[in-house]
Order: sequence, then C-alpha cells, then structure tokens
Amino acid sequence: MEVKHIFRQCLNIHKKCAYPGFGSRSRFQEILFNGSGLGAVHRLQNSRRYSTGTVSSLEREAIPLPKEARVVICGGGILGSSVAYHLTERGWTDIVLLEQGSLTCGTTWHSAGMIGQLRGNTIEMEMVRYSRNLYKRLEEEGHGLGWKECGSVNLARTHDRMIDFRRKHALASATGLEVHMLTPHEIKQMCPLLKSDDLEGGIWIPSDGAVTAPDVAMVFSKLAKDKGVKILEGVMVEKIQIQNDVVKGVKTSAGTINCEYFVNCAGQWAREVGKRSVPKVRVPLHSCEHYYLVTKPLEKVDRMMPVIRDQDGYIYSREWNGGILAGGFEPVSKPVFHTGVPDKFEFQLLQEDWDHFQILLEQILHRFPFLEDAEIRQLINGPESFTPDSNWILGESAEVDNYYVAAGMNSRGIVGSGGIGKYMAEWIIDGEPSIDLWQYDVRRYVDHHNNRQFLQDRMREVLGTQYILRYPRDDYKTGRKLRTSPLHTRLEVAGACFGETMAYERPMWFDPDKRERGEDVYIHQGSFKKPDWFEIAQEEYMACKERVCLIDMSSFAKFEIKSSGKEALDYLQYLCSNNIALEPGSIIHTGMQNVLGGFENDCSIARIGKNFFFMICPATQQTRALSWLQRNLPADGSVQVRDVTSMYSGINVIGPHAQQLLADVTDVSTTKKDFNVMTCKIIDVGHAGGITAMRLTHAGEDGFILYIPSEYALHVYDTLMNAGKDYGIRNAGYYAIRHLRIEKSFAYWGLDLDAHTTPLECGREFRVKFDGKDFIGKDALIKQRKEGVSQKFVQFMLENFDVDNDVWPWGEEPIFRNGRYVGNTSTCGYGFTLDRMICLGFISDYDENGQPKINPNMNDYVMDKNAIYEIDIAGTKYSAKPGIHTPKLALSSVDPSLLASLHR
Amino acid sequence: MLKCVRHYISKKHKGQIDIVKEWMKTSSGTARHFSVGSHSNDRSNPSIFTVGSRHYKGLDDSQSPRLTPHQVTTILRLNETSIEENNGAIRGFETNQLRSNNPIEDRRGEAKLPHGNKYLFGVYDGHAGCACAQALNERLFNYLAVALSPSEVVERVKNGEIDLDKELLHWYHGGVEYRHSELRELYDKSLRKFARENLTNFSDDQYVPDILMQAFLRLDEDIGSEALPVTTNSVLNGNTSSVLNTELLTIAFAGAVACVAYIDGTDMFVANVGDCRAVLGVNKGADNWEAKELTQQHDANNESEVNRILKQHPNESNNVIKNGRLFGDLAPFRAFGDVRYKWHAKDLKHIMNTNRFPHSFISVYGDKLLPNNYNTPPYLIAEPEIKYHQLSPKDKFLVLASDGLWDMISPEKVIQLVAGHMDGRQVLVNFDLPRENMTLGAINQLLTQRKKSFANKTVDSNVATHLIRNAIGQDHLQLSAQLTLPNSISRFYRDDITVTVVFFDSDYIMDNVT
Repeated sequence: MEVKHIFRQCLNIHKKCAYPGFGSRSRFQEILFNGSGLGAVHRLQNSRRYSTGTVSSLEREAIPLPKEARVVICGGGILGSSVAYHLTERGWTDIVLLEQGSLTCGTTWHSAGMIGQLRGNTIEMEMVRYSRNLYKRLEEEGHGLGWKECGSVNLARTHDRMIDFRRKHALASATGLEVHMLTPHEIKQMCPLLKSDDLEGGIWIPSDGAVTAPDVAMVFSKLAKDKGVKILEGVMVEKIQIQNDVVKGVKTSAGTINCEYFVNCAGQWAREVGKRSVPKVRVPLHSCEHYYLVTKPLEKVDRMMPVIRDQDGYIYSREWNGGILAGGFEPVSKPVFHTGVPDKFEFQLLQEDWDHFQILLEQILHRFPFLEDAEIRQLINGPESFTPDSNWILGESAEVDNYYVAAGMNSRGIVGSGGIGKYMAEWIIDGEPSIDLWQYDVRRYVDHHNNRQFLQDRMREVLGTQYILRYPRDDYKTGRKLRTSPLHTRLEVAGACFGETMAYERPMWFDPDKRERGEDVYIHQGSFKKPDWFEIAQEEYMACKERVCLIDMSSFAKFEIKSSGKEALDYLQYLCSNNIALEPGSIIHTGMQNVLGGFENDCSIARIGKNFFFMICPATQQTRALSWLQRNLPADGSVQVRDVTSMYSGINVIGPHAQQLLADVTDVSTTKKDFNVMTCKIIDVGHAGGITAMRLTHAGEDGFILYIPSEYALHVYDTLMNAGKDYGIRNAGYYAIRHLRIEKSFAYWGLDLDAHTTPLECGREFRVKFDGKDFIGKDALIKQRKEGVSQKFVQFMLENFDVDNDVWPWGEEPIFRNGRYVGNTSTCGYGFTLDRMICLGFISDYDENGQPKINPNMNDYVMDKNAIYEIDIAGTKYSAKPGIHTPKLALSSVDPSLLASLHR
Repeated sequence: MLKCVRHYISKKHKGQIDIVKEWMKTSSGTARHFSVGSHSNDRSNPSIFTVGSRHYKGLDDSQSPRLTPHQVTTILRLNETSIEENNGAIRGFETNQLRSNNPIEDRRGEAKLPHGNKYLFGVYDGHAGCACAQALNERLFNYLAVALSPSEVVERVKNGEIDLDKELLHWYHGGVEYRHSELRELYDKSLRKFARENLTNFSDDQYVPDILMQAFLRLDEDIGSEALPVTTNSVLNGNTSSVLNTELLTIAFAGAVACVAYIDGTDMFVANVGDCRAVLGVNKGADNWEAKELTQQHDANNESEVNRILKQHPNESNNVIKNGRLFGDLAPFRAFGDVRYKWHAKDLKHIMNTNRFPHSFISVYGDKLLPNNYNTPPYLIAEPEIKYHQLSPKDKFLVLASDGLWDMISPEKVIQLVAGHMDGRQVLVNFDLPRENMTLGAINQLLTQRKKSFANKTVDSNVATHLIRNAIGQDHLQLSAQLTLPNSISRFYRDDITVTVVFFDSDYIMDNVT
C-alpha cells in the first residue's frame, strides 16, 4: 500500500517537472556537448600526443602565491574543493588550494554525477547521505549545482542480487534511509521504458538524485573562496618539503609556501604527487578508462526519470539534457596511463574504444530497448582512478605527519565528496575523524600495493567490481600469490584453500578434493547462505578442540622493540594500556589506545629480554602499527623499532595435545608448571633453534604459537607433522580460529574493534592498568570508567536459525532492541559447541537525535531481562540472546592431562 | 605501379633481426652458401640418411623451449612480404618462406607484366639441392613473359634491347637475386633464341594454355641442352670453363617442381609440374568456405600419373615405380631438371666418365648415376598440367604453396585459416563511427559483427606467416622445437615451406566478369 502511494507521488512529480528546460547547464557540459560536439573536446588521439586545454573554468586572477598558509591543498577537483570548503566551515581559512590546470579539469568535469545512497556498510552510507543532504541544501540555497531528486532504482537479475538488496534494505531502513523493495511489475509501472520481464526485482531509493558534477565542485570552491581560501590555478606542486617526517612547506611552479598541513587531493595524479616528497607517500591508485554515452534528446525521456542501475548488466543510466546518459563498469577494464599520468590533461578525454564499450552498449540496449533508435551524441571515455581494494584512500599518511590524502575515488567521488570533505576536515583539525574510517585509511596499504605492475593487473578487475555482485569475504582474483609463507607449497599440496590479507595468502580451510575437482584453490565461489567450507571448518574446529592442529599464522605483523636501557619498557608502558612491566618471558595482551581511549592497535607483547620486546598484531596493522610506534618514539633515538614480519614464520600448534606434541620434539618441559599460559621461551624444535614459542593461540584453546626464523619453518612444520601422526594431527585454516574465537566472544581488531571502540566498551577493562602508570588515552578511559560507556560489545546467539537454508549473517546486520535499532553486527560465525549461529557487535542506546547515550549501567541495559533482541538478516528478523561474557560451555576444553593418549 | 610495398621488417627491427640471423647462423653451425648437390633432401636419396641417435646436449627442447616467443616470431617473419596492389582483380598478396633444408631449396617469384593487368605468381620446390629451383626462379617468368607479351616487346627481347628485370617484368620485393651472374649471358642468349622462334610462330589468337606449356617445356629443354657437354657446348664459343660446366650440370642434375598462377583480368591459369599445390578459397556465403583445388599432384598418389608412366614404359612396371618413387628414388613424377631420368644413357655414362671429382654434383650417386634398367628415357617430363579458372566474385583468395605446407595441414584447414585471418584483420583497425547521427542499435550491430572477428585476431598480420605458424606448431614449445631442429634432422620433421596467398578484389571481378 505504502509503496504504491509513493509511486503516485513520484508520478505526480514527473508531471510537474516535465521538461522545464535543461536545468542548470554548466559551462562544462557546453565543453562536452556544444558546437560540433566532437570537435570542442580535446581528445587524446594516441598515447603520445596531448592537446592543450584552452577552456578555463574560472576567470583566472593573478593571485600572488602566499608565503605561508596553514593548509595547502593540492588538486582543484571536487575533493580538493570539498576539503577546502569543509575546513572553512570549521573555521580554518588560512588555506591555499593549488590546481595545476583549471578547477575540475581532471576527472570531475566528466563525472556522471549520480548520487546513490545505498551502500554496503553503515559508514559509507552515512558519508554519502551527508553528501546528498548537503547538495540538496546547497541547491535550495540557490547555488545551482544541478541537484534533482529523481530517486533511483537498482535492478536485480538474479536471486542472489535480491538477497544483496534485502541485506542493504535492512541496513538502510534501520538507519533511517527510505528504501523499498520492488517487484518486476512495480518496476514496469515506475519505469515503463525499461525491459523488466527478465528481472527478479529491484530496490527503490526515492531520496537519491543526481547533480552536475563540476558545478558541485565550483560551488564548493566559490564558498571556500568567499571565506578566504586562496585558489590558484595553473600552479603545480613540485615538492612537498618535509622536516623530521613532518610537513614544512610546498615548493610549487610559482614559488614556495610554508605550511603546517598538506592535503593530497590530486585525483589520478595523487600517486605521482606522493612520490614528490622524501620520504615518499604511498597512494596506490591507477587510472582506468571509464565509458558512458550520451544520446540526443528523446521525447520519451522525462527529466525526472530515476537513475537506473542494472548492476548485473554492469550498467547505469540517468537523464541528461533531455537524452539518456548511460555507462557502466565492464568486468574487465582497460587500465591507462601505466607509465604515468600526463601533467597536461585538462578537459581531455581518451580515444574511444568502441569495441571495448560494446559489452556495455549491448546491455544498455537490452535494458532500454527504446534506445535502439536513439541517436548518439557522444561516447565519453574519461580516465578515472581506482584502488587495489576499490575503497577510497583517506587520512593522514603513515610516512609523514600532517600529510593527508583524499584520493582514489573509484568512480564514487561526486557522491562521496561531501562526506569525505567533512571527515577529512575533522581528521585534520581534530586529529581523528568522528567515525571510524579504517576501511578507507591510507595506512591500510603496504609497499606492494603501490607496485605499478600490481596496480595495473588488479585494476583490470577492480573497475568491474563496482557493480559485479560481491559475496561476503570475496577475494580479488588478480594480483594474488604475492606474499606466501615458507609453508605455502606444503599447505597447497595438503589441500589448502587460500584467502588473501595484505597480499598474504593464508590457508582458510583444507579441502584436498577441491584441487582434484579441478577447482581453483585461490578463488572461491561466494555465497550468502551456508558456505561450502562449512563442514570442513567444523571438522577443523573439532580437531582444534579435541586433538591438535597446525595453523599457518605467518601473516601476522611482527615487530621488535628494544633499547639499551629501560627506555623501551617506558616507551611501551606509555603506548600500551596494559602493564608491560612483567618478568622477562611473559606475554601480555594489550591495547594501544589513542587519546580518545580507542584501539589504535590490539596486540600481544612478549618480553623476551629485559629491554627487548616482540610484538604481534593483526596482519592489517603492518603499516599502521609501525607508523604509530614510530610517531611516538622518543626523540633521542634511544628506542629501536623494527618490522620483522617477513623474518619469522608463525605456526600455531593448537589443541589439547599441543603440550605433549611439543614436548616430543623439543628439550624443554611444556607442562603448565614449567611453561605457563601467556609465557614464552626460546626453544629448539627438531634440529632447528632460535624459535620463539608462546603459549597462547588467539582462539582461547591451549597451545603454542611458534615464531620461527623463516628458513627453519619447513623443518619445524615437517617435524611437528611427523611427530603428531599418533596425536591425530591435521592442518587447519583461519576459519577454525575464527569460529573458535567468535564462539568465545573474543573481539578482533579491524573486524570488531577499531579506533572508536575502547577496552571498557568490549569488556576488557581487566586489560587496562589504571594504577601506577601513565599511557595514551588514560584520561579518556578514566572518564568512561566514571561516567559509563555509550556502546557495548555483545555476543548474540540466534534463535530459530536454520543454518542449512537461511541466509547467513556476515556482518553489518542491523540489531534491534525492543524494535529499536541499536547497532550492527561486526563478525558472525557458527558456534559448533553451542550449536548456535553467533553474531558479535556493538550496540548503543540512541537518543531521539540518533546520538548514542552514555550509560553508567550499560551492562544492565544490554542484559535487561525484558529486552527483546532481534537481528535482521536480509529481511528476516531472528530473535537473539545477548551475552557480554564468554559462554561457559564454549570454554569447556578438556584438560590434556586427563586424556587417555597421555598414558600410553 | 606498386602502390605500396611494405616490408614488415622495418628498420626499427633490423637490429633485432640481425641478432637472430647471427644466432641462427651459429646455432645451425653452417654458414649460408650455395651448396652443390646438397645431401639433405630425401626426395632423391631416401636411403642416404636414417634418423640416427639424436645427439642432444643440455635441456630437452620438448620440455623447455630454447627460443623466446619473440625469437620465434622474429624467425617466422624473417622472409615475409606483404604487397598491397589494388589493381585489377589483384588486391594484393602476402608471401613467406621457412627453411628446413640449409640452404632452403624452395624458391618463389611474383611479378607483373607491364602490359595489361597480368600477374605471375610462382612457387618452386627444389630437390637434390636448390640449383634447379634457383634457375627456375631466375628464368621461368622470363620465358613466360616472352610467350605472353605483345610481339613488339618480344622483338626487343630478341634484339637484346630490353632490360629484362625492369621492362619485361616488374618484380616485387626487389626482384630476383641471381646466384651466378656469369650464367646470365648464357641465359639471355637462350631467351633471345626463344624470342626469335616465338616471333616466327607468332599469332594473335594463340591459346593461352599452349603458350604456357610451350614456355615450360622450352625452359626445361634449355636447361638440359645447356648442360650437355661437347655437343651443345658450342654456344659458349670455345670459352668452355669447367666451372661453368659444373654449374650447368649441377642445375640439370638437380630438380625442381613448379606451380605458377597466371592471372589476366578475371582469367586465371594455373600451370603445375610436380607436387606443389594451388588452392582457391571460395566463399559460399557467411562462414561457409570451399577449398577448391586447382592442381593435381604429380606423384604416386595420383592414379592417372601412375597410369601415364606405366603406359609410356609398358614393360617396366616392376622397375620404374618402386616404393612410390620413380626408380625407387624420385617422389615427383614431373619435374624440371633431373636429367638422370631424361637423358640418353650414353650421355649419362659420358658424364660419369668425365666427372670424377669427389665433391662434384654427381659424387653422391657414385656408380648409381645411371638408374638400373634405364631402358626407355625420358621417364620424367616437365610438361605442366594447366587449369583454367574464370574468377568469380566468390573467389576471395588463392593459396600457392610447396608441399612443405600441405604435408602439415590440409587444404580445408588452410582455407579456414586464411578466411579467419581476413576476418580477424578487420578488427586491427580502430573502430570509428562511419557516419554522424547513428542510432545506438545500428552501432551495436556493427560492433557485434566486429566482436565475432575478434576471435580470429591473430599474432601475425601476414597471412603466410600465420599459415606457417599454424602448420608447424600448436603452442610455443612446439614452435620453438620445430625452429631449432638441427640441420641433420630437420628434414625428417618438415620440409621447406613456401606460401603465397593472393587476395582478389571481388568488386572488380563482379564488374568485369564476362
């Protein structure tokens, strides 16, 4: 009923707005489409000849280059303009924006300008929703950026795409975005021009819309300029001057500016700009050809026609000047500018490759049969930059303090720029954005991500993944098998099925039959429902619980921290919230908090010697952790920090037999009395020596992680495998660990925890040493202890969940308490001991404005006996039982001393 | 006349090619030279070599390639030529050769008669060395040109007033490379004589097949008579030099088969002697192609040839064809040269008695120069079988090739490959909208058509190279192995390959077919 009503509304709008002219037609469109069309645009005829832009976007004023500025922004596209605008909104106005050509002349000017708010996670959804609201407001204030609220309809050709829509529908509606699922019939009614008889359905977002992209950028720059930002066109950044790893100034083609902050918003040039400093700053992105066509005006096309996305056909379309603009993201793209983006590429396009575009054209005609007779106005091939994981690159660089990056938009620049500008301004001014942007953080990369050959290979795939249906935990197929542990080949033969993190290939589970079936062991068919590895993960899980398994943990980031005196200890005490000052030979789990008390990192630190520490943290922390460690180093150079990730392989010997197995192959006693939990020793295994053995497993089971100098790793592995035969030893993968720890409600950094969650919010107060030492974030945590927290980490067990047939929770499912939205799941998995589907996640008590309330009795709020929890998985709400402690049953591991095998 | 002569080996690549040439030289261990009576041809001496133990050192080529893909491509393209003509029925042609024997025993020639749209395309496959094939390449087109040209041209030939290489014929890709310029005087003299006799018998309404036949037979006759010592040596006016003699004898005792296509407007004649083949690619609509053979191979597989020989030598059936070869020795049943099967026994005996140098052309035969039971020569003829074909708009191209190609792939496959190559070549050119204001539907139709062609996109832009690549190997390993076979065994894996593909202009044929 409701849906139909809205349809009517929509149709009315259509009538009202039928052809009110072409709206605000910007000068950029004129560049694109006026005159002879083809002639006016400076097209790149071949890779060597570039024509020079003759069209200037603004009347260039001869502003002299200022000597000083607080912030220098490099790049006059929509990102640079937005960052400038949002900084002025926060009161910073001593800003210089440098553009090597003319404003918007890079890629902004040829962006399609579609504003779609339906995203796969809450963070991005929040950012683009901010953008959309901002554009709408600016339009209403008379700024003329071509905003029209035409709504958008995404189409599903497959059942799985419908599941994807339902998951997004659940997330969107829980967080207040109006969305409606559509049947093919409803789609037909709404958009009679498109072919709908082959559709499964669709989803409608009425508040979506479209803008004229360059106009948005021009409005941002105008507003910023009004507040005092100096915008200089035709000025190129030549060198970013760095002193002691802090930004000091910018050398430009027009002279030098001293500045405190530098923001690299150089779009597809950002990677090159990143190289113009010492040290260099990694900005891994690569340009690809991106195509859309524009037809001549068509009678049938209404100006308020909703934006249509037919992602299963790789295509999108919107109304444009009375005609249709239609383009897409083909499955295999064409990377360009491999050897560098030309400096002069103003208002230019690339030579169109019709053959390459055909796959999209075919789909466009399939979906919009009426376009068969439409005449082409122009085919646009404009380069856009993409990143290795298809996420934006934002934040402060790991290499240089006060050096910020906002680039790599992956064709989501116009829709993202508002939100990105807002949070970048927070990041620069407050040192931290108010929401967690780890998935977009420039520090998520390591060097190999910036390898040009890798980028080129990966980009062939990334462009297409904008639209191709991605299943949970999908890995990329290109650029794989780069970092492998010394055990890799052995594990491959043993049937390992690999997944990638930080380019490291990790065995996720073992299925020797998969290879025999002729299937790829690196690429796995995804699923929203029970995955094909489920039964195997269960076996491996049980083997970890009841016998003994080896798990390759080599991908973990590893660091050595040492000093000659007690400086290293003091340093770590200040960085860590837990007490590091234990006896040598002990290990401590600790967070490293930021000033807000949030987890900058979550790690295990072994005190190997009095002034020598070995630190383990998640693989994804490799760059970020090192950056954090280095930034906080004492200035006198007394403490040395070294990334030793590649030097050591890690083998997790996990399970009740681990103690005896290790005893069989080493000379030290492994009994709990001699080798207690959370302690470490340097031991021999087989013929190999120098192995750091730690009694912990990161999964709550008994066992040891052996950190082995890499050349001994294979020997140690073989020794353990041989010795373990009679213990029923087997290989296990990451899914075993994941299920073990999810069941025990152990939170993992990067998956459950981030810079915006504190130890007190996830039940880890016991790991915070409040007394007798000072550490970063202590004040914030003391305040929380006193006043209470605003969110709480909770484990939910789903009731009535059919594990075989229902759509699984994979994270980002909305959680409801008494019918009210209180948060999202973070990680989920099946509890094989509890026999329940388990979801972890943070929940909050939101006030009327959607702000989380601080609650001194958060635990009572969570565990309130009358509270009814539900989790919405793709449209089905499951009741869920909350818990804030590890379930006792999950801890019921058997004491190895009681096992019969020990009495042989 | 030549609108565009493109040698695919551009200057830019020359350095690389020199390196490969050098490399080929050293790897084969033999400098290129004009070998006399090369031993490496099983066509005349099947028993001389056996596939003995292979003395490979180092890696197994069948497991790890000796050549890089770039080297393979460079070697394959070494001799390729593409000519765009766009004149009359001829749109252009592409040729290439790949050697197995060292030096190669195949030859080829392409030329245009300056008077009218007349073209000659020839493929020659020598045996017992390359001497005879070389002589054919140097001479056959001249004989044909004399026979086919107007009388005023022949008159000038007779009087020695014409530059044969420039005025009688327009040769492509640099013309003929003469091996022995000292023989040219003798050749010219013979040609002038032929021209003179031709003028006496000249008439305007001569039947073209007869003209071609005459030229073929006359050349073979001249090759024999020039080599016969004492009796015909008088043409040399007493300047008898034993070197010259030896060269002429070498040519005559060697042999060669020939296949020549003569195209005049929309008339095409194919004259064939031996086992080269000419196959026409006929498009029967859409992707349906017919391989129309215009030649018959003259060898033991050809029943009518066997019958012809047995009929001519009625009481020698046990002897004259053994193991599918003439006297158990020679595979083709028609050939130029090979005077061992043409001359009188007394002449052969005379040669045996006067040429006793160990390295001479006949030393390989030893005492067997005269075949056993050599009773009723000649056993071998150079008389061509001539086929006339009126070009139709469906005829898209003609493939002329030595048996080195046909041994590896069938005519049907060859036609398919060429057709696919033509299709794939279309997409090498970037697509531009053919006109303004096109509808999306029309554009999509054009692009869909091109998309099909993408499947046929090939590595080699030269179709002859494309054929050779497909003939000798399916993958890089195979190609590398085939191209690095030692000289001593190469011939057991494959023969020299020569391919010429002539493309026809269907529009011209449509307008001019009578």
